[in-house]
Amino acid sequence: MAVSLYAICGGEAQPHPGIGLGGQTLRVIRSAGLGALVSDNPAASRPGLGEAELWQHERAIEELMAANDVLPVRFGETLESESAVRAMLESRREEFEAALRRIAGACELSVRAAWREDTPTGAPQSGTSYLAARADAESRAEALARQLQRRLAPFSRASRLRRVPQPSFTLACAFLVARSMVSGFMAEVGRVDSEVSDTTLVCTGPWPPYSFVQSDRAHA
Amino acid sequence: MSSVAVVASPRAEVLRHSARDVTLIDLLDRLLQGGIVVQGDITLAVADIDLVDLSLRLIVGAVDAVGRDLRGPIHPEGG
Repeated sequence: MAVSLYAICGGEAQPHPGIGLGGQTLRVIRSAGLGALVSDNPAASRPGLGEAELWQHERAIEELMAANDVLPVRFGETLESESAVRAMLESRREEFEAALRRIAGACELSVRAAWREDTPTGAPQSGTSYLAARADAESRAEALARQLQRRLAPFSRASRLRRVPQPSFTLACAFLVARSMVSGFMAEVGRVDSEVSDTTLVCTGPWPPYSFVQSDRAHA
Repeated sequence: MSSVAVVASPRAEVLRHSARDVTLIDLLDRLLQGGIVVQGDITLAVADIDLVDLSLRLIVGAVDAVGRDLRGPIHPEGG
């Protein structure tokens, strides 16, 4: 039977008795000293892309994360059988072990930055003023990114920052933070927020370390 | 929900009404673009991408509207 995948974890991890997508029971398939959190997916179907399904995937991972280090799997991943899951754990064992070491004891926190005043996205008066405003926004965003990285580095192990095109937010950042540092990290976000007059920072989490588990970006 | 503790900001009230929406944006971001990829050929159907895009626009629109509503009474020097 096909299974839906939620997370990769150490082989000793015990799943919280819960349910996953489609109301199916969660369980851990073990091989190569690793575990994979799965639930049956009788129709081998891709889950619907609704808010409820997204939260179900997230909650399954969070419950395992409460007592274990976990590598979250992207939403919607399905493998055709238990043996395919075991084969995947065996063939990617080194990659998963390295990722588990990297994120051990840590979680992910999101920081988004939004300009406080009206952004120059609405009808510009002229092409020149639009370009000037955009260049100004770029340099402010770069300065803010540097400030966030400098201030939050003592509270985090790694970070990923990117510009986002949405009008409401200018920066989307992910930080890998030791669980013991979460409250200190959030307090520092609050201090930076109170110091920058033109920006509001919004912090969400703790999340499973979605942004820090992909091997091609392992040491970026 | 344990994972959605929100906002370490003294100005948290500014965005409190939209905190759930910000959390949903972060959720979408992570579940659909982050995480371990098992099958390289997994792609979302066009209709699904449209759906995500649409919901992001709605969410961002809502956040933006709330931010505008509350921007008036908030002054850095007064807060």
